[in-house]
Amino acid sequence: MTRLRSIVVKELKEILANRYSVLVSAALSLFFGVMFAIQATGRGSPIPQQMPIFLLSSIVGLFISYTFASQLFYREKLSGTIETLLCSPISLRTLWAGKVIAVVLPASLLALAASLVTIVIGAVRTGHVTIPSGPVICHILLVVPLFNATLAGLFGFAQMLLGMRENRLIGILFFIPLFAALYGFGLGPAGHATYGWSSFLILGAIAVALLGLVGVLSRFLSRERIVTTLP
Amino acid sequence: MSERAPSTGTSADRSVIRADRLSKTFAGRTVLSEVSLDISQGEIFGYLGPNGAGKTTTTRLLLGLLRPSAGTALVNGHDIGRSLEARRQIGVLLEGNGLYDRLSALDNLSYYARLFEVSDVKARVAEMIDLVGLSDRKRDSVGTFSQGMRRRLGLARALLHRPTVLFLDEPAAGLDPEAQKLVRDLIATLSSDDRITVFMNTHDLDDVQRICSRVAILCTGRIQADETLAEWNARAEATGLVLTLVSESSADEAARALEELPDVSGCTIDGKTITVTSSRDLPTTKVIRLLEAQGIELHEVRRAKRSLEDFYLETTREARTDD
Repeated sequence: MTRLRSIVVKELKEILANRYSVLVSAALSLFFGVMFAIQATGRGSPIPQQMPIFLLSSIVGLFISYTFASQLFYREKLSGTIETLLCSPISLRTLWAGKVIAVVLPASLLALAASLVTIVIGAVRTGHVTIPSGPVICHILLVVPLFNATLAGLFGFAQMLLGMRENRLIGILFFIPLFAALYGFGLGPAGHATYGWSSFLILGAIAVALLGLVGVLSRFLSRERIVTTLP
Repeated sequence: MSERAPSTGTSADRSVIRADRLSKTFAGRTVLSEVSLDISQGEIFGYLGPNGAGKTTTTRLLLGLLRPSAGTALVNGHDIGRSLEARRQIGVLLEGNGLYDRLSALDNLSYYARLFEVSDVKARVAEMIDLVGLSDRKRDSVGTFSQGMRRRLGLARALLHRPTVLFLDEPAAGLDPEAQKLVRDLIATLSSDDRITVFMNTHDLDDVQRICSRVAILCTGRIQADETLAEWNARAEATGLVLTLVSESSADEAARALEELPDVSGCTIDGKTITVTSSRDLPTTKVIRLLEAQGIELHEVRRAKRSLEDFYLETTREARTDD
């Protein structure tokens, strides 16, 4: 656990040290939060309970995870520090898990912040504070981090597995289908209906299943594969 | 820091790095073929070879970063790739320094110290930063460091957890002469005082001559020579002659005659001077008589001491020809 914590702390420091990336991520969260609030309150009605805050938090979370995961995994390989790290007494899975956790923490916090921005701006515009329902709150606190972990984990796996040329394509390959699936879910069953416990359970189950799949995939990572695909 | 003689690694010493008929094939192409090494505790082992010879592959196999296609690689009796605990015993300074540009020198070393579960992280990190002369820059991000400063910090990182075996890839690359001396002295001290075994990939023959106790030359994926520096020095003293002729015009004829002698492996002509290299000690009287018989006048004959560079170039040239 000490080593895992050390990896998480170091990766968080690296994320924070890249001020440009942190600022862009924070600005994006704020922008999405404001836009969703304007959209939801622009119809002359108070923020509806079924307002897709879950969708906002998911999209922001995924986008930030994508940004940070690219930094942590890709840079580690590009700079070659991964080779030195693989000679230290940490397993590949611990390293991978540490990076995923370090991505999930800020990405989930910014997703939560975007949701809060939407609620606050909605309240300012309508004079009425709408507290999200239990399933939506659970979604933000549980499902969003799970989806973030899934995306970060998939990115980590792919970026470690593939060479640098293939790495340029994986952003599109992984990000767009996940984004489209969530957006489709938002437009369909969850966007126009109350986001209830059933929606939460379905999305939660999908997230857990995907994360499990990523966990299984990570077993196929080898030190040799990583080292032989270094630039 | 004073220069100290490295350990010569006597037969009584424990074998620390052992490769037994180690081979590696990538997509049907053999990069390394039946490499065997046995390096004792406290030895400083210089691993020489041209680019693409397989030095990095050997290092990666020993470090467990690659799985051998055949043979075994053990460090301290362990397959490093399979044992996390065995990795605690090794320090590495590879081509990249293993440092994070966005983090400070302090944060970089603290991170590795925690991964290796070093006791009293703060004190040890401060000690190592001080050792490589970077105390005044310890809070600066490594991205602002020069190549030489990074290399020094990389070495401090590699030594942080007090390893018993050190793998170094061009340790003095990018360093100014003062820093080169610091690194050389440090490696020699680690070998002589702390009995640390050093495996050093290098192209710097000067460094090898100064600090290594043993040298191996790898070319075309095979070990072509593996000798202690003492053995090599004895051989270098014994072989070769430098002849200075009275007239430059007879140099070609003299070289042709000399090349007819058994044990002579080659002659190089530079004006009136001919350098004769031989596989065995060449008696000067025999050479003088031979040239006199040809009517070639000699101005001077002296023993040539082959440099490590000569030895290296000859070995790699022969290996490529045989291949």
